[in-house]
Formats: sequence, C-alpha cells, structure tokens
Amino acid sequence: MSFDIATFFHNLWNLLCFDPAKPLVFNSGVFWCLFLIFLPIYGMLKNKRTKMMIFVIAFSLYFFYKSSGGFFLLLVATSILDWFFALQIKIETTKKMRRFWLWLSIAISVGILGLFKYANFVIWNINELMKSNFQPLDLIMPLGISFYTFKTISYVVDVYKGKIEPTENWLDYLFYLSFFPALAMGPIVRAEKFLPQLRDNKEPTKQMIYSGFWLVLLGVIKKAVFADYLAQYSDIAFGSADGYSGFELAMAMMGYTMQIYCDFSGYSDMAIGLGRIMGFDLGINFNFPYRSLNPTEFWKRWHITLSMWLMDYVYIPLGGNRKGKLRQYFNLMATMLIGGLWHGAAWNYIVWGGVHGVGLIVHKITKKPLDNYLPSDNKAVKFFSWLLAFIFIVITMTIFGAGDVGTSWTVIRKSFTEFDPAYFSFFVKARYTWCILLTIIFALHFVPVKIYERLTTWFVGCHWLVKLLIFVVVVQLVIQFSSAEVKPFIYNQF
Amino acid sequence: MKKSYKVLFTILAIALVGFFLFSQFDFPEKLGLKKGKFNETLFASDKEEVTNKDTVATQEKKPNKNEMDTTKKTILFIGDSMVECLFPRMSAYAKKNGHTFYAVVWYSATTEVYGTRTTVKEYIDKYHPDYILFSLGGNELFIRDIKENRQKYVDEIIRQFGDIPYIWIGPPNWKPDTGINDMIKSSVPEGCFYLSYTPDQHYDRKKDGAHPTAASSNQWMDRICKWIMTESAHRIRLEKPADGEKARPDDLVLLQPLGS
Repeated sequence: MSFDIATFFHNLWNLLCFDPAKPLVFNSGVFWCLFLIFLPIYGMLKNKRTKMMIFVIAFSLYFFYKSSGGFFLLLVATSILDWFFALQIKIETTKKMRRFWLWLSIAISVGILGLFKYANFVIWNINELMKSNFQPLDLIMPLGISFYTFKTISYVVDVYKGKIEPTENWLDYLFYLSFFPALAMGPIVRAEKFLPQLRDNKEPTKQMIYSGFWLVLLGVIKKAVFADYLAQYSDIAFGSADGYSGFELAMAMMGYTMQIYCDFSGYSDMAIGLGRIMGFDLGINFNFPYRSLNPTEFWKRWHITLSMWLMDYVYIPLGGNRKGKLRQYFNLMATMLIGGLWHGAAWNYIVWGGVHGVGLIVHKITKKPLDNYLPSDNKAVKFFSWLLAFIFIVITMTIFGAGDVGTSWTVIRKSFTEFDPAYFSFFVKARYTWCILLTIIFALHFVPVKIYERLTTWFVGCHWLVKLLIFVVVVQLVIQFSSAEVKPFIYNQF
Repeated sequence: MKKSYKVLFTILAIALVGFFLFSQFDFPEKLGLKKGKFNETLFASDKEEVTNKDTVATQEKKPNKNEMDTTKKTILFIGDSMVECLFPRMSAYAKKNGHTFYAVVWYSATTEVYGTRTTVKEYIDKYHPDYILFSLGGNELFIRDIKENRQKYVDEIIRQFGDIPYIWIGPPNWKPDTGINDMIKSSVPEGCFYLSYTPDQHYDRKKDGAHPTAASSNQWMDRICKWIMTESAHRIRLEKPADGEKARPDDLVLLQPLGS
C-alpha cells in the first residue's frame, strides 16, 4: 500500500471527528492511541491541580464530542446551572427558597433527560393510542445523559440535605460531571466520594496504577472476547425466535444473561481501572451478581451504583420501609419501574423493572416464613435458592434484551414449553466455541474472590516485560475475536 | 512524572509500535493471526461510495435462456453470518425440492478470510456438493481501495469453486458500498451473482442494523430462489415452500471468527 501524506491526514481527521456511529469506546484502537498521548501529559500535570483539571476536562469534553458532537455544550450548560443552583441552596436561608432551587434543578435535569430520551416514546404511545400521526423528533441522545443526570441530581440533593458542601469553583464540578472514565456508562459515582479525592489530588500509588491497568485488561477481555462473541448467537436467536427450538432459545437466554454481564461489567471494569490509573477510586459496580440467592441480593451485586442511587434518591424519599408493609411494596415497585424506565424508553424495560419489583416483593413476603422452616445455611437450600434466583434473573434479562415484549414472551414461552434436550448434541457440535466461552464465564463467576485478589497482587508486582507480554496477548485476543466493526456497549444506548 | 506512569506509557507505546509493524507483514496471516487494521484505517484512500448502477442494470436485464436442471442437488451454502439468516428458509426450500443441504457459517468472515484459506475447498471435499451458494461481502461494504485490497481474494475463492456451478449472493447493503458488489459481479460469469442491494429490495434489520430480521431474511431467500430458478445461469428446481415451513440443514457448521 502506498503512503500518501494527504490521505493519512485526511483519514486521521475523519477518525477524530464527530461520528455518532463511532463513539470513543474504551476497547477501540483510537481510544488507546489517544490515551497514549493523554497519559504522559496527565502524569506531568498531576501535581499542578488546576492545569491537570483543565486538561482532563478538555479531554473529557472531546470524548463527549466524538459521539455527540455539539451536545458537549449541553453537559457544560448542565454543569453551570447545577453548580449555580447548589450554591444558591447553600446561600439561601429560608427553607422555601432552598426547596425552590432544589426543585428547579431537578425539573431542568429531568426535563432535559425526558426530552432527549422519552419524547419519542411518548409520541409513539400517543400515536398508538389515539391513532394519530405525530412525527417523531429528530434527536441524537447525548452520550451518557442518563448517567450524568443522576450524578447531577444526587449532587444537588446532597447539598440540599447538607451531606456535602457545594464545590467552591465551577471547574471542580465540571471535572466531576465530565470525568471521562465514568462519563458514558457510569459508575454513577457520588460527589461525596469523588470530590474529596479531587480536592486532595493525591499521587496514585504503584498499586493503584497497575491494579487499574489489570482491571482494564480484564474488562477488555470480558467485553471484546466474551460479550461480543456470545452476542453473535443470542442476537440471531432473539431476532428469529420463531425459527429456533425451545432448547436453542433457552441457550440464547443463558447466553444473553452472560453477555450483558460481560458487556456492562466489562465496561465498568475499564472505567474503574482507568479511574485508578488516574488516581481516582470510583468504587465497584458489580460483585459477582449471578452468585445471588434472591432478587434482593442480586440488586446489591448488580449495577451497584445505580441500585444505591435508586435506593437513596427514590425508594427512601418515597418512605422506604418506614410506612408499613403495603407502602413498602408500593415503594419497591415504583422504584423498580423508574429503574426500568431509566434504562430505556421502551415497554420491555418497564416490564423488566416491574418483574423485578414483583420479585423483590415476593422475596420480602416469603423471606420470614421460609426462614422459619428452612435452615438458610443448609447447602441444598442454598443451592435451590440460587437456582431459583438464577432462573428468575435469566428470564428478566431476556425481557431486557430480546427487543420487545412480544419477542421476549415468545422466547420465554418456547424455552419452557418446547424444551427438547435432544437438541443438545446438535447444538454443542455446531456451537462448541460458544458453549466453551459460556461455560468459562459461568465458571469464573464462582472462583473465590481471593484468587482474583492474588492475581491482581501478582500482576502489580510482576516485571514490566511480563505486563507488556500480557497486554500484547490481550490485544491480539481482541483482534482475533473481533468482528468487522467494534460493537457498541449495550449500556451505551442508555 | 511518576515512574509507574513512565513504565505504563512504555508498555503501551511498545505494544502500539509492535502491532503497527506486525500489520505491515503477511506472515501473521499464514500463522492464523489477524492483524490490526492500521493500513486500511490510516493509509487507504477514501473513494467515493458507489451505487452499483452497472450491476443493477445487468441484474435487470432479461435472462438468458438457460434450461432448468430438475435433478436433485447436493447444495453447499457457505459464507459469512448472513448465511445464518438465510439457511433456515433455504432448508425449507431444500426439503420441499428434495435437495440435500449443508450450511457453513463463518462469523465475521470476509473475502480476505476465505481467500487466504482453503476452507471452501475443504468443505467441497467434505460434502461433495454439485451446487454452491456463497454469501459473502457484508463485512466489506466500506473497505477503501476495495479492488486493490480484495480482488485477489475473490479470485482465489472462485478458483476453489472449481467446475461446480455456484451462485454468489451479494450482501444486503444497508447503505451504499465502496465497490464490493461491482467487484464481485465483474469477477464471476454472467448470471452467477445475485445483487441483494437494488431499489426494489427493502429488508428490515435486526438490532445490529446490519442483518435482516427473520421475516426479511425469509423474503430475501424467497427472492434469491426465485431468481436462481428463473434467471440465473445455473437454474435448479427451487419451488417455494409454504410460509413458516420449518426444516434443518442436513449438517450445519459454524466457524468462529478466531478460526476453525
């Protein structure tokens, strides 16, 4: 291939310009090339707090621009407004005015989210109900709007409740809101956890940097090897549910359950890892969710920052469990429906939230009577609890991922009513690599945490050439498993 | 700058340079290793998208007068993931018309993947087909300098078909390509290429935006079979089965992107 300098710069320009179809995802080559430039500059500026902040904000806004174009200004505007509102809440002396600023801030944040995310859903439903023909709005959903809206709401509410002080300057707040590792898909890190780290601006330790790098590598493997590979079959089977047997659809349900875990927890690992490399602890977002023994435990292990957010800013303000059993069940259902709707403007997400609400309520109702009859430390009881919880999770994940309520019903119904194990050998023979990957990721879920911790410690301490070798192997694995295009993360659409 | 940052930077930089250099040689592919797409991404010229006008015009021509071969065939349907969309309906066609039917799906496959390996020949040797359906090109719709980069692979694939009658099914574009359809069309004899991207073909897509939905895949296969039976250079009996008719291939092989 001949080298032409003009072509090179033309292609480079195209790569770096706004393209909604090609967001700057962490498992893309473009991101890593940019990170290679980012890292030494960040390292040099780390001790000069203001310069470091300006540099990181600029990079974060570029990160936003790459997928959302001029909408990065929306993020800037949101940060200005909510920073100002939080200051007003602090300054005001009357409760009435403080409450006014709080609700104004929430109304604007939710309003913007509603416009971009739910306007077309509302129009679609009106058209269905009224047989009208309102045209959908031509909107691009800005990157991570669901995530940063929740961050900004929690910040203003926490200032209102006196849990945190508002930031002294706007840059601090913009840094928190736009911090690129957590911008697109969380974790929804709280201001009370993040801002003190920014104020202290401590040098990251060697442990932090390399354990972060290790997490990034794990995340890349989860996403680019496991999730994208498992997706090949799940997507096809969900897309043609009528053409597949019950057994094949049951396998697709299992596959999607593992795929979404690898996809989203993989992204979270990368985000948390990048945060650590930069010296920021973003907490954890997943804690082996498929080990859960019941729906309540599942929500303590799955998308932890979201479930904590929903608990603190929806469930508890609604009354939590303080106003009697019936009210608690209502609060649980309302919280899960909001959680479902947050994920996407479609009925399948609302149904998904509703089914989880039912699961949580049933668990709350049955927990005490069952605990009286069944010893909770008995291994058989634990196993059946796990099995029941896992089947429940697989079903709800199918509702989440099958596309629409009708398709998910077809998939679930056929999986139960047309399940024929005779397809097993045919399936395994035809899709042996897929089955192997599914088994591996399932088995890895039950490896003791200590093993992962030891591996991390070993990686942190190993020679840099070994780290290089591992990095090269991981990247080559990603290239080997890669499809023609880099697949977007499932949660990127939220 | 902190020492750990320097080390991390060194690791990333060495890896990047290494992968770039690695992508400049041919030997990795001979070892079954894929390469990074540095050249295609950075150095290939950005051609104007083409719209297959000439190819569409050829497909719209009235067919030649080839007679239909009404004997029962052993059909090998091989290609990329589009085969997965098409083979359920094609299985029904095979069942209805008494053909033996084998399907081989290679996910994420390209002309480069098939053209640098003898996979087609290996499955011909395994199943002894007397008719081949080949569906490939969907992963190369937007490759720059397509002829320069891919013509040799297309030629190699056709060489592996040998004397067996074949139909190459073009990709169902979701937007104009950079020349893959025209290139394949010009590489095969007349009546051996089915263009799936014409103004009168509209296929609903799955969530990935690329693969047709189940219903659209069935419509697509119906059109292909009708074209094969009435207009192609190698006409065989492909009477339409009932809608919703279910059948399975006599054997199905799924090859993964990593390799077989």
